Amino acid sequence: MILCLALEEKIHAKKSLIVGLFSVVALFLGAWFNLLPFTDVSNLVIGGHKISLPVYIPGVDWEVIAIILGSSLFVDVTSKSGLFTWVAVKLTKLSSGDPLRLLILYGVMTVVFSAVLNNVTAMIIVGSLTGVSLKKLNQSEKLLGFLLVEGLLTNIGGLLTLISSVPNIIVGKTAGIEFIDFFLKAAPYVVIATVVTLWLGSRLFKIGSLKTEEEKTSAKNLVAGFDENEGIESPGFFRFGAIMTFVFIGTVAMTSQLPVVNELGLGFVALSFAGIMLVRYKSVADRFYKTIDWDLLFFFVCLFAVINVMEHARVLNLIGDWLMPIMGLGDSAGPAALLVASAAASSVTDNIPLAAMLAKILGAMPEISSNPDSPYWWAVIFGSNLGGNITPIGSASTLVSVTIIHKYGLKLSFAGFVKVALPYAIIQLALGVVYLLITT
Amino acid sequence: MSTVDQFESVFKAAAKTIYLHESPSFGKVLLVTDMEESDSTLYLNSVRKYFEKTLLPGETKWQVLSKKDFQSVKELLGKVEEYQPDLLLTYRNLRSESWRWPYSLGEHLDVLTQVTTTPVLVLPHPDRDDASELLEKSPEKVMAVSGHMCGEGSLIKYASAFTPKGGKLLLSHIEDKVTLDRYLDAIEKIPDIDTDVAKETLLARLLNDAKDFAESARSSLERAGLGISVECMAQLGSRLEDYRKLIEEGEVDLLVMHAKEDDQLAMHGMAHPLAVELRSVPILLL
Repeated sequence: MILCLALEEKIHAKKSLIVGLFSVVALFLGAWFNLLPFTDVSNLVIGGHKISLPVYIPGVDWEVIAIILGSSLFVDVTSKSGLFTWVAVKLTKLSSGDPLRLLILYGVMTVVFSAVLNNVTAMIIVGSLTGVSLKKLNQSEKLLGFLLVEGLLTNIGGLLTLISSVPNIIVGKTAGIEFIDFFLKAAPYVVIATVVTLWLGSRLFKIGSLKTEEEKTSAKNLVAGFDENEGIESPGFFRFGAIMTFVFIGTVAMTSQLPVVNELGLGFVALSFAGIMLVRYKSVADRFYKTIDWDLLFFFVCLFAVINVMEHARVLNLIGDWLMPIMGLGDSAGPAALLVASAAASSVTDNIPLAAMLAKILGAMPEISSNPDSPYWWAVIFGSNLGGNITPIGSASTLVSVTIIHKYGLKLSFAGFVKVALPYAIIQLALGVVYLLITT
Repeated sequence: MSTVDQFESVFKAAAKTIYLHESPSFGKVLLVTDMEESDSTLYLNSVRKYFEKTLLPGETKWQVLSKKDFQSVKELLGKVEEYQPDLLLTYRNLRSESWRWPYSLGEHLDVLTQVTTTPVLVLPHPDRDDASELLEKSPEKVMAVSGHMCGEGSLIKYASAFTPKGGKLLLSHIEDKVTLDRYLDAIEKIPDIDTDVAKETLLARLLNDAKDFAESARSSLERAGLGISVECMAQLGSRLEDYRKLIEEGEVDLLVMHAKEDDQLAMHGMAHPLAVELRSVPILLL
């Protein structure tokens, strides 16, 4: 299954279908060999009520599904308010058209959007703006450098909060890491890695400041033509979208402290905010349902079903045994080795099954599962996110950046991407290892 | 809104083309006539008076070519090359009897407007019965006739230069209904494009681009302190018919339009019929 996911582009099949077919086979074999707990799930008693569920349902982490569904709907509806495009255009004007300033502002915006929205949406917004603004500024030759750096920064930004990327949600939830704790732990690394990536990007792609006054005036006049209000359909909904975004981030950050809400969880928060935003489009809400990434959601449901079968078949225990030599390296070398191994694995296949599998394995180890601050959790989080920067198929957002690069007629092969991105990935991973060793 | 294409559309719409004003210089103006030298001098005086508010005496040096100065189109082009004027002034059907018939501008003008890069201001023919009357009152109301409006900065630059202080500049754009209908008709037959969305948004987008540019021009001209009032107009219609109506009903004194088109040797598609048919209105052809 992991091999097929790595070859997703080659076999022209959606990941939901790949994992779906493997889940059918896994469930069939699990039932054939009497590995699945049919008796337990047909005799569930919840709140005094006897409930019967299909055997593949309890294995699915519905909280993760609810978070992804709710937050993607929320982001999609909020983006209609013009809020994100307003911020993006404002920053473009703030740069006065200077390429270096533009790279820094777009880089920071990529990181923040990746953290607040998700890294794919961040790459779509910043990448599409980059194409338009560099063309307007007659700096199209710098497009490849900009898009590559932005693609790499999406995976850095994806590290910032508990809900910034799916591996964070899965591992963070299994480890019991709180939103605030996650942020405080990850933020210093994100700042350092962002600065280093931008510095390296400006050097390697020769993105510098404008030299003459004439160039500066011309660039300033060109960006002055950008109208940040163009995407705003209704000023009222724009303000509402801005307020709701801040309230959403605040509520997500405070979920574990809020009475009642802490019982209902992050998934409830995400779905509730999506519902509130949808009221604006109540008569055409179905349009937004059509834009939901059903491939991703079905992929998760099927993936959880497969992992559940693997757990019952004790395959995860077997993989856990393989990880023992890494764990045996000690409290410093062990997490460092796990981080690098996770990154290497994430670079050639989807980081979500890897994170889900490793979270299950680590969760089954008592000394790690009882400690949310264990460096092993962070090794998996850092490794699965940063691994996406080694190859173009390592993460969905780098794939989007390569897609935009190709859309603009720029040539960049798989090997070409690896050649350009590898120095960044090595530095980011080295920084990650050092940071992990210092902070844990 | 979740695809690259959707966000790219929003950003492309936000990346507006703005007008940045700079005044053109008319240091050297060349008046071309087919009259005898003495008549040319008299005609020059009336033309100078006609443009006294915009081509100021202290700033403009006038030169005249009369009948004896050129015998052919080639000679005329040679003289223009020699003088290197900032503006050419002449009248319809130069060296031609066909000024009585509204079918062409005459061979000299047809070539002159396409070969030289210098703007050519075409006046009504001086042999018209109402010729002297037409040059009595300086132009107050100037209309810029645009092809797209958006990005046509030079059109506005020259049109504003010929609008005197206190005068009115009309920035006009008519989106051709026949062309739009043809595109919408094609869109109706393409299953991948939502016909209702296309109908709702295509015209609005086309007119908005023109309005936004005209509006930025209005602000820029206001900031430049020219003391002229600027009116922007963008609408759907039949180009030739509606422009004719606008010009006649609005009592426009001077038209400004592009005469050249990148992909053809003949005069700009819209400029030619207007220039030929509106024989009593002076036209600046760029």
